[in-house]
Amino acid sequence: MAGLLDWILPIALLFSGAILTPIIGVVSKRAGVKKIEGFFAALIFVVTIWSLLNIYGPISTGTIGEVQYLSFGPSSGGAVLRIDMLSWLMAIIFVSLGFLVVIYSIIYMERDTGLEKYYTLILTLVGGLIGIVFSGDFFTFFVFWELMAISSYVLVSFRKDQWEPVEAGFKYLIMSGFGSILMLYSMSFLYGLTGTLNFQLMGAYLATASPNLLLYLIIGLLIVGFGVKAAVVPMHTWLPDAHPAAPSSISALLSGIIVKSGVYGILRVFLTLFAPSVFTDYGVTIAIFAIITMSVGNIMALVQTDIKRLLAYSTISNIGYILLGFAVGMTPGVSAEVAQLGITSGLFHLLNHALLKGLLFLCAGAFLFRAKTRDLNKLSGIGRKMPLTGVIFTIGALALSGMPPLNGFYSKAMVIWATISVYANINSMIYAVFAALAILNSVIVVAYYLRMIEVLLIRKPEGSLDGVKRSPVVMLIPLVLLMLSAFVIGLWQDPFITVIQLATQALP
Amino acid sequence: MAISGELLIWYLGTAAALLLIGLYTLATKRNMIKLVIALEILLDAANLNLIIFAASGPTGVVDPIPQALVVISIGIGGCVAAVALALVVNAYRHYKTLDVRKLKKLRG
Repeated sequence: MAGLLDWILPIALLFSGAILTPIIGVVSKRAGVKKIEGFFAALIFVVTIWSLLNIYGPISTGTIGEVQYLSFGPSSGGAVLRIDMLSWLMAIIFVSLGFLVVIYSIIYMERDTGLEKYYTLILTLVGGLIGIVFSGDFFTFFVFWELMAISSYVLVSFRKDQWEPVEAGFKYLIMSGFGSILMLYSMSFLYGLTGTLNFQLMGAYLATASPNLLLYLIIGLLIVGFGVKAAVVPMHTWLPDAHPAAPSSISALLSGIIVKSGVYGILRVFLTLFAPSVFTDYGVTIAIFAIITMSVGNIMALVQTDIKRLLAYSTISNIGYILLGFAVGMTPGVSAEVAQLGITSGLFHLLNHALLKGLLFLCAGAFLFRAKTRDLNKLSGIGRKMPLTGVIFTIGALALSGMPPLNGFYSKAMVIWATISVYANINSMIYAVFAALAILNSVIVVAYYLRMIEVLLIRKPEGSLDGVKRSPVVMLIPLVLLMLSAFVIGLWQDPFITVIQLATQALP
Repeated sequence: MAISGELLIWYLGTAAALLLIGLYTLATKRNMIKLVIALEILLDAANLNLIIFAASGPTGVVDPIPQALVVISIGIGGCVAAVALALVVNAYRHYKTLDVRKLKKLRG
């Protein structure tokens, strides 16, 4: 049986690591040793992964870890941490990718200064993300949300001596800050209606409510609030600027896990608060947003010449796939199996996209590290100079474009299958159209990834790439691990699907 | 002290007016510092709403948890403003202007 300490240990470890990292940075600078902060942050991540595996036993059997840390006054519920299987699944994705990014940063960031701040911010960022998925009420959710957001603003504009990170960071701050304020504003109305900030109690109250204009306005504000973070079109414009401007390791975190926090917010808050049987309209609204997000992301990706910008638009399109899967679970009237299939497919694609997009951004970072350019035309043929990185990049690109034995194919097919199942289940023609559009989009994805592979690997290298050497070994470790995960999840899906189905069952 | 029903609508109206002022400023102003101020006004609208609802609950007692949330949210607003103004200073060093429309190097 897990005790109080076991539940809060993942958050506590990351934040104590964040406090200790600057001290270690100062001490190591006095002693004249370099790179100690990076190894220390990696160690913290390893211990956090251990602490998460530690609570897998009780959580997988259906125990919900509730830690009530604030309870006074008439507000029922108080402020709680509520840890179930979905929280665990998201947390393990966040921490694993965070660990690989820290290993990668040890070499990638060696030319930068202020690294103790960099690792502190990564630790608070991942700690904030874990707090978001562990929170059971809006008080905790908002505090950790802003903690994560502020760390990510600073990380995006970490290289502040260049113009691009500053401008992209300011744009990201204004848009994301606006989104979280809309979220707070709508939550204040929900508090006024229900008299509690606890998600479970709010959901129980709203299940008996009759939908009215105010409640649909609140739903709309929440979609915009979370949509800014999740880069849902038309609130996506910060993302294609922030990704190229940030250091590549941070781009991997942005695409892999930060945008996933918005997606998680949509999934958790909407399904807990607004039962699809009572609020019948928002499922199809989210599906329409998903299709628009997917199409705009793909079409914009076709015309990009900047490798990281292209990957950023590809992130937007993949958010569309994830949301489409979730929207199936939010559709009123579908059978429980179809709803579960939808959410499982969305979460499976979320897992695969986090790993694959992390892989692709880290590979792009390796090219950038050696060739010092992000322009696809100047990078043409770099795969011949950096063969191992090139091969890993190709495998990641093929997996994300949906090549059968790899993981991306299965999750994408599952999302489309779930959408068709809605059509079969409740005979809703619009979902058949959504499925057709999703299949069409998958073809566009193949087009731009194949173009990227052609440019990077098949063309002859140009003179500007003469001095390019192979990637450093330490940088290759996370790349190889992520590439292996693409094969492992693709060939042995059953254990992963089982865990994701457990996570799906944690939702009402 | 708990707030009665007739007063509630005035407070909510004030919060909504703050929201509209913030939205207007965010949409029309070019100065980067004014955009940061707009964010702070928007945050105040949300905070005021929470405080009002905490003070007008059916129990007749002021609920402390939203008030604690507002205290933390004001602190968070300060942090966001600090980060934003630090970025404004850096942007001014690069561009020698605070006009957000002259920062058009990004296409996004």
